[in-house]
Amino acid sequence: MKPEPFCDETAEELYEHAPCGYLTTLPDGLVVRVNKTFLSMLGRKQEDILSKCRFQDLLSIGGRIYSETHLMPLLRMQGFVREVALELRCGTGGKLPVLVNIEEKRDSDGAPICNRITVFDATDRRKYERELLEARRKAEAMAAELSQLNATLEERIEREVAERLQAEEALRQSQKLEALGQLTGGVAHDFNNLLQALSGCLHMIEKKAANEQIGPLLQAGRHAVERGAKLTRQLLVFARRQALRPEALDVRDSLLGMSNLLGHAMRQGVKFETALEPDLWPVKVDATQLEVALLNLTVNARDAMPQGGRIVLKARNLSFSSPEGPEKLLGDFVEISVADEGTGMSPEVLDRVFEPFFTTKEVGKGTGLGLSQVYGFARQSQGGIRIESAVGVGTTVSILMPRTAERPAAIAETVLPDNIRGGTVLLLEDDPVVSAVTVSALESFGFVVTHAMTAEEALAALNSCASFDLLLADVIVPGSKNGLDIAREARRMKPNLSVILVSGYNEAITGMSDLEEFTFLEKPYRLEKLVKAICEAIGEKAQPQE
Amino acid sequence: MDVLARNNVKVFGSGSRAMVFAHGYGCDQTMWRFVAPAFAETHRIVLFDHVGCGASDLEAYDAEKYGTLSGYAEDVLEICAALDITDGIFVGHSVSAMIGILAANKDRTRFSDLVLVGPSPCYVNKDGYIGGFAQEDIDDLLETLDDNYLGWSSAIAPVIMGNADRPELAQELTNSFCRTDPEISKHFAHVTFRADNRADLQNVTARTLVLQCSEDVIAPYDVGEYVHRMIPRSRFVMMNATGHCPNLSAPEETITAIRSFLMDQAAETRGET
Repeated sequence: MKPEPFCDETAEELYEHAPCGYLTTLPDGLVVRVNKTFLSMLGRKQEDILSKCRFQDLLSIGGRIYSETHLMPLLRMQGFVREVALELRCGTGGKLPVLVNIEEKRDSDGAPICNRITVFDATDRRKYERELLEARRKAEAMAAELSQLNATLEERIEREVAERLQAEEALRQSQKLEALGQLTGGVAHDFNNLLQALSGCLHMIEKKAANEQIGPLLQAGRHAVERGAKLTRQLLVFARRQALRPEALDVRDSLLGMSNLLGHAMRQGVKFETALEPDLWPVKVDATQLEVALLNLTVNARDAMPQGGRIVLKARNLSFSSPEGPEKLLGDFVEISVADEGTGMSPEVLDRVFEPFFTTKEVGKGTGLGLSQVYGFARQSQGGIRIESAVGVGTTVSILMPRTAERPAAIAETVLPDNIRGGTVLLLEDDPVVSAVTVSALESFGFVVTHAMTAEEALAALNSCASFDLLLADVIVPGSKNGLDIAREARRMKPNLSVILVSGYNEAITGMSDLEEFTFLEKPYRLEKLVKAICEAIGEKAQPQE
Repeated sequence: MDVLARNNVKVFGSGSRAMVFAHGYGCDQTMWRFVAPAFAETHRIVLFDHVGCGASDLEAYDAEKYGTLSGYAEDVLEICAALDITDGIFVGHSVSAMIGILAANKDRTRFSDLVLVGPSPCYVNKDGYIGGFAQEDIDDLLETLDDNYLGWSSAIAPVIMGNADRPELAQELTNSFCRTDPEISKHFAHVTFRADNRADLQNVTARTLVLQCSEDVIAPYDVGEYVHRMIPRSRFVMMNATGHCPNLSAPEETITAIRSFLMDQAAETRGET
């Protein structure tokens, strides 16, 4: 029978071609026997190694040190070492990662005779170890990144919470101001009617009283009424019920135009500076209210610096690509700011500055309506207001006004006629005092007045045979229609009819697009002003007939 | 703090003079198992493990303190204080030879004799000094150690990926001697192979024996000879033993050399010549 091929394997063949390197060394490491597998692993020749070098000499420098400090002591003590990772130097100069087992052969006295060493090629293992090390480094880097993210997350949450709290605070503040606005608007409306009545009464007294001595008293009374009217206008601005006449204007022209006014507000020791960005965009706001607002801010700045200092008025263009501030402003704005170097305000004071009648000024020195007016003006103009203040450093208040695409136009001066020829007037006014005074006054000028208390009464009068030269109507009247509706109706029925609308509570007419076709007077009006307006209106209609 | 527990101090033998045996980098007090007992009849034998090695208290390891060999020397002096050792004999192997010199220089009352086995004050060749290694050789060693490519650490993959609670596991499996914490061992290697204590040699006042092995890769002949030259009153003995650890490979020769040195010193102390 033919022997199996593996049966001719000899011990010699097994030694030389075993799947691992195999060496025998003397106790000091001198190589005395080596198999072919080891030689081929290292690419070395037997004659270069055998009895010529020690096993340690075949190791890399690091491996040699490690071997001397760790391996050999251990081998001597326990008689073996297992699976030690080392590096051998190849004949070609490279390094071969290997795993080494060493067994010490001892004589009967325990003295070492030789070492038997097996060497396994650990190239793939080393590669795997490298991958593991790399994976560990990546894992560590990712863990570090994750912890960084976590840290940032906490920070972001903190920031988010702070912003949320700030927004809630702003909302609370705006709700408070809104409530105050409603209250203020209502009070101002009623107060306005009282002033109107008072104004009319004063006029009648002047007309009828023969005593020349009451002249100064009347004058004083009229001043008081005017001041009261101004106060209610400011209240209405804060309440955002003032009918604004927004127009496209150039902020610089406005500032130039009010330079005198601002100059008057100054006093010795206060330096006034302006810094205007070139090419400021035009804005669409009420020119008068803007002037009042700027005057308020300037006066406040001045009063904040009793020891004198610098007031800087700045204007610049600003664009918000994402909603900004409590008003969530978006788009293009022109910012006008007034900065002082004054006493500044504490957070508690800052919290309340926009409230009407809140003032830190001495009794009699401020109404507490200045910043309320600014606030109301800014908000009603679809703009915003910013205030920064630090005690001892100063305060900066900024108004943000929306940019307009319209070109600013010059305002035409109106020339009023001076002759009063009388005429027929239909008065639509629900307030008994105002209507009584007005009717009386107009009659004294030679006008024939028909008084209607409600829209229905006015329509009835218009439908009657009576003919009117002019309709004088309060916009806000009881009934199914308002004064403007009546005015339109009247115009439709009688196209030549002159119309003057009046209102002191102007929320309703804000945004009425066709208001321009009618003459409008704000309440409380001075009677002369009303008469002039009536004459003008009638005259215009009468002129083509002449 | 219990210094004796921290450094796993073992004391045995009888005699008026203490012999403190200090192991080198890579092992622990078991290094002296063939040598120390030979002196137990005549001396009080003190064995210990450096912190981070053997059965020392790993919790006591402080990378800053042990960032220089002086930290280890402090421990030696603390052990001396705890055991009330004066005029003792310090036997230091490899890096511990330098640790012993630092300790003896700092407190000259503790050791009157130093036995330096395979000492090297500086392993790197520099300024014309032959330390035995080029800087890149040492860098290569430290890098390979850092990556766990040498020894046992890398032989078990889980060690690389974690197993932080029992990093010594890999060694326990196959080795019953010279266990070291791999991370501390790496640091010890950095401290050892980057040390340069040449300037301390000339300040040694203790009587000193330099034991030099043949064909010692770690501390070659030139280095041992340099140490002998720089230390006043030192004796140089060239051994037949090869390698870096004669205390293991040639304990008898080592014992004889030390004993001969101590006898001569004793005679000198007695006034004989």
